[in-house]
Amino acid sequence: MATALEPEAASPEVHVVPTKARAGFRPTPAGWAARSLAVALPGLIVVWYVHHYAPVRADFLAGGVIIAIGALSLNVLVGYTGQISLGHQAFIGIGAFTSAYFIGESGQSFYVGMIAAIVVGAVQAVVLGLIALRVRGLYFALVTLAWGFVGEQSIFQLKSFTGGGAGAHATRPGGFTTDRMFLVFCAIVLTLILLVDWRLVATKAGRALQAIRENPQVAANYGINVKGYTLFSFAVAGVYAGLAGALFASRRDTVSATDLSFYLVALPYLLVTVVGGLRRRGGIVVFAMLFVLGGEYLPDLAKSLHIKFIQENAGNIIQSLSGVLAVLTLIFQPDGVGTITAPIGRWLKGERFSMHVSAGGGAEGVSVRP
Amino acid sequence: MAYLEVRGLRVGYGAIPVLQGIDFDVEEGKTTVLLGLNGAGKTTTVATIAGLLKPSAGTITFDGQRIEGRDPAQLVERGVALVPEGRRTFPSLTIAQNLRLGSWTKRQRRQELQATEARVYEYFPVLEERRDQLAGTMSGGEQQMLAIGRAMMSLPRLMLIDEASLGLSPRLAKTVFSIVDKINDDGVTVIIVEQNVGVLRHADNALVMEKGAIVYQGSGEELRKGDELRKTYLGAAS
Repeated sequence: MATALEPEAASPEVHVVPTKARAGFRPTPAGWAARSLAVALPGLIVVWYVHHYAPVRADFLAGGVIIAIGALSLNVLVGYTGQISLGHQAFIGIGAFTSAYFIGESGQSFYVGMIAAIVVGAVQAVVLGLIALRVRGLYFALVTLAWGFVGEQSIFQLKSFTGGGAGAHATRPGGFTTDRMFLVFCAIVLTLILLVDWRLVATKAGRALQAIRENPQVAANYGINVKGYTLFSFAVAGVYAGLAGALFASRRDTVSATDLSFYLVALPYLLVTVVGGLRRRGGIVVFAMLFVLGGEYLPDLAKSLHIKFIQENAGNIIQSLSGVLAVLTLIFQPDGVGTITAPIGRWLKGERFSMHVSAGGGAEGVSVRP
Repeated sequence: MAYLEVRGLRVGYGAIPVLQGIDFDVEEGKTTVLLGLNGAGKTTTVATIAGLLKPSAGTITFDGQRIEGRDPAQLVERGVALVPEGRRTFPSLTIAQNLRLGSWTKRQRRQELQATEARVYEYFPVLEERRDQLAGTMSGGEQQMLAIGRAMMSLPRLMLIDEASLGLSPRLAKTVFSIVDKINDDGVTVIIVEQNVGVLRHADNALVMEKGAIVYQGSGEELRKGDELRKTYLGAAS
């Protein structure tokens, strides 16, 4: 309406400055107590359950952390640049085999293998990024699908590189060889990646990626280097995937091509990314853990409840549930489960409880203020 | 020498030529309207000036320097800003974020940036009210204001506005153009691409395009008042 242009409309009372309003709100001590309780209670229930009914399976938790890192790599591509990757088994696998090659074949330390995995992971991602500059959307998805199968069928079958069917051997980093310590190591890597990812989105680069995702042409029009930032985001995704690959190889001491199939890596990782929520790194990490823990603890739960069918088919049930969940997510909550949990997260941080989607359209952590 | 000089400009999409060697001048501090029917080559002309298309022949001189075929980013830096057709805001970014993207190439200091943003809000108070709202949730008119405001953020000296009235009510289009007038009064040279002859009242100079060529170049007033001229170039319906 044209009337909106009249000066009266700009009077201070109607200025909407939600962030400032939020900053002015402080929860009462009772409010903080409620928040602490909301965190502590479920935590205690989980600890109690695990303590009583099943041992902590650090190895599985480490697997969950690795899935989270791989899904965060996908999140950079799908969430930040808007390019769908269906070939992440190649991304993870190349990292895994590079690391294993340096550790097992060349006898280097884990860290050398990890750095090599990062470098090679970034390089292969940038090469795919060069293709992404030419094709977008469905066509790019097909390119990544093909790239995934090239990895699976050709690169991973090179006997001198991957050890063929027997697999390649990789050790764990010194001081982190037990399951529990390896879990700690994985958690440290995940924390570092979360920090990097947070800074990536909150800074100028994050805004550039967002603008490119929305409309590359207009972004170019305003002087954003579309090529540079697209390749940069692919490199970042490649670095995350390289790290996930290195941890993947070391977790079970050996890695073989059969562990890195479309069904075991690319598909579940994509499900975790989509269901957890694009651009919702918290949601992705939480759902990655649920994904793994579900498969691990569901049989025990079924056993204690004497439901034999679930006990025997737990793995399949989790897989099919994830599929159903993905479909439901895409229909009812296209921005992912993270959108549902975001208001709770904001409440826990000490804001007023509100179901409103934060400004930025689900782009967690994006700040425009100077 | 004119502020913007276009000489013998030829541009095509693949093998299909669109602009067949056009010449025109734009004077500094003036508003020039580029009129013409669909497919006349108006958008191609401004897109080429803004660096989005590379000409196959011809020159574009802006403020004494050749700019044809340069990168859009460099041109934004030199003060050429395009407000693209169909608004093209970033729908899932807030208004403030959209505006901030307009100043991407300018290494302005925080205070200067805030001052520029404040100036945009002076032109368009509605944008300030809704600075934290997502651009995609705004009306067409507000998005058009945002698109112009975003171009303002790069502190342009030459602003190219492509079909600003598209899909707006006549009243709202008038409001938008009167703000463009204000921007022009503040020293920005403006080229408005339009199909709507009504915009001539805001123009100092007018260009009429037909099938990739300039068929009229003269004062806006003359074209507006001269019924004969208007009928000849823009058809009886205008």
